[in-house]
Amino acid sequence: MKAQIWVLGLALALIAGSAQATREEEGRRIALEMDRVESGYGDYRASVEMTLRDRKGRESRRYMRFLTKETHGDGDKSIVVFKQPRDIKGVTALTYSHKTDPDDQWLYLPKLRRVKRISSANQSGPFVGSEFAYEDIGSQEPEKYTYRYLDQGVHEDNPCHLIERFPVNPDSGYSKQVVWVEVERMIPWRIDYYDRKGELLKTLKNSGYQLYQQRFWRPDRKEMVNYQAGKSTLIEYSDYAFSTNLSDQDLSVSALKRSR
Amino acid sequence: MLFSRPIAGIEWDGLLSVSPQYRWFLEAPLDSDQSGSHPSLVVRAEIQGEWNNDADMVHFIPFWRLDGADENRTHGDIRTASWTHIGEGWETVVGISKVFWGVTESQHLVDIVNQTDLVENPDAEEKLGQPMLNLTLFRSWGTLDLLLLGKFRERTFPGREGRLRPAIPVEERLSVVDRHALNADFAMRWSQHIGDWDLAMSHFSGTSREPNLVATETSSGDPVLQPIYPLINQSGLELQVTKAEWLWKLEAIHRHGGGQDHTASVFGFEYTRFGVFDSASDLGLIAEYNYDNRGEDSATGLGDDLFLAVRWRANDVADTQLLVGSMLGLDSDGDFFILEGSGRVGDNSRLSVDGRFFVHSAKDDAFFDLRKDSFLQIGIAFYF
Repeated sequence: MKAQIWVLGLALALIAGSAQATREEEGRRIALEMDRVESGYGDYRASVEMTLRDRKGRESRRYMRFLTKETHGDGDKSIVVFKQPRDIKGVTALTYSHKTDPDDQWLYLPKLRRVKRISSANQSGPFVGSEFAYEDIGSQEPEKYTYRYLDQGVHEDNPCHLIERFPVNPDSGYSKQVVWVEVERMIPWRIDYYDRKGELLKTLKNSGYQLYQQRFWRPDRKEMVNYQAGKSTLIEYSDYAFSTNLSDQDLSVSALKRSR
Repeated sequence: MLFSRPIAGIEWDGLLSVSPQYRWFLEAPLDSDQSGSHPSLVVRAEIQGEWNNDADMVHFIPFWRLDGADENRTHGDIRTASWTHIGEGWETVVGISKVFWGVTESQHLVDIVNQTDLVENPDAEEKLGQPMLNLTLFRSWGTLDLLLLGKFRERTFPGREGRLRPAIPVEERLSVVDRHALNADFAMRWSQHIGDWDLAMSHFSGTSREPNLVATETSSGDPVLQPIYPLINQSGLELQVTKAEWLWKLEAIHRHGGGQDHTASVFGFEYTRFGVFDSASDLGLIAEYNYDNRGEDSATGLGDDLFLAVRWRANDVADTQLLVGSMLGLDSDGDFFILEGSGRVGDNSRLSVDGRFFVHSAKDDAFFDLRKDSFLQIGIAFYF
């Protein structure tokens, strides 16, 4: 009995002493689990409608097509083809994301038929004038952050883990993000973004989760509200198709010129 | 989107643009035959069809310009009329198409497949459609393009009434074109990217896209320039190294034929600061050195010239952007400045302002003939 109390005491002391480490490990465990649940789709295609709303409520729309292919042991390869506004119709971006190295990025300008390698250092810049930064749109590799378990919470009746994540990339526009991950399905419902000064900048809310291929949960809508700018952007997905046999050739620099 | 729907199993998509433009020339012309400020209109359509699970595609891009002053500038062209087939590890393009090679901003030295539609823009970025057979092979060691180029397209030049031309006009009816026996040109290019490096090497054998302009007379005794297109062999190198905000660029060519060998290169960098002035906007600095061993006699006039430019992008809803630059002649007293700005207006039109200003032109400078041709152009493109 005495020995058991000793062991318990020791265990408690260890837990107290390593609480910090445990919180980090727990945060990372949840992030990896979220990534595991999200991965394994091979490839997917989707159509995207983006609605940009300014401070006065004026709206403008963008239409684009997303193609994404998973790569073994590295980040995703993805293509975004712009459909509207029409002055940028056919402009296509190709990204090879990497777990820790900077991403490789090319842009295709259809009028000149020119493919340009561009800098991927612009992580914090706005994507097509929206409230989504390039780093919000890009592939969310778990290695791009360090983690800390924060708390438990409820998002619209869904019990969630709240984890903090801290960008590894010094070009990131954020000091931290708080991700609300549903306990049951390990899917993200909400992300709060804090700017470099540590002030709350934006909130992303996902909604309308649908199940694809009996395995992959994807939201129909993502809405980003920028508190500091008073603007918001709504992304609506449609025509999701998984395992469409996209090849590496389809996501190559040369394939950009096909301008779908 | 003009339309976007499947017809007979083919997914069709289209785009139409109509762009009225106006060019103000800041000075009276050198030659009284040349026009003053005038309007112009460009109509361009794009039709694309896809079938067979996107493995087959057709593209059709007709282009037409109506110019208020220069009859040579009033012209139409089929920019593209091609069929693309995608196989496993290869692709083919058959028909009239356009191919761009290169990495630098101040000039496109390596880019040789398509002829320049020079009447469109003095920056030589507009190209004429080129009949071709293009086979692309995708391999672990890179991408290999093999091109068989058909019918030769002659360069377009401003007419007697046009501005931005040599003091003596070019007479296209007198042109001499030297062709390979098969009446075809051949080109190949290998390209590969390894991490931060994008590298390409190319070779072209056929009729030069750049004519030698020889002073002569018409039968009625008017002095004109005669374009002579020799057979050449040209090797090209393209390199870009992308290191975070820095893009390091190099293009170089060696050309053999047409009575002389020559070497030319352009190299420099583009450095971008993201999120400047406490805003979402980017500011880029471009510096490129242009070298040609023919010096001021080179057809491009860029023998020993430094290009410096600042590019600003607002990253706003209107996608507002502005480029201000200058080409500074180091070996001669002749500089010019360029201005390129544009922004979206409403949902589906884009307003653009372009300018070119020739200053300090000395007699020995390649741009001496253009010293009275500084202009400012405003245009709006409506998309349907």
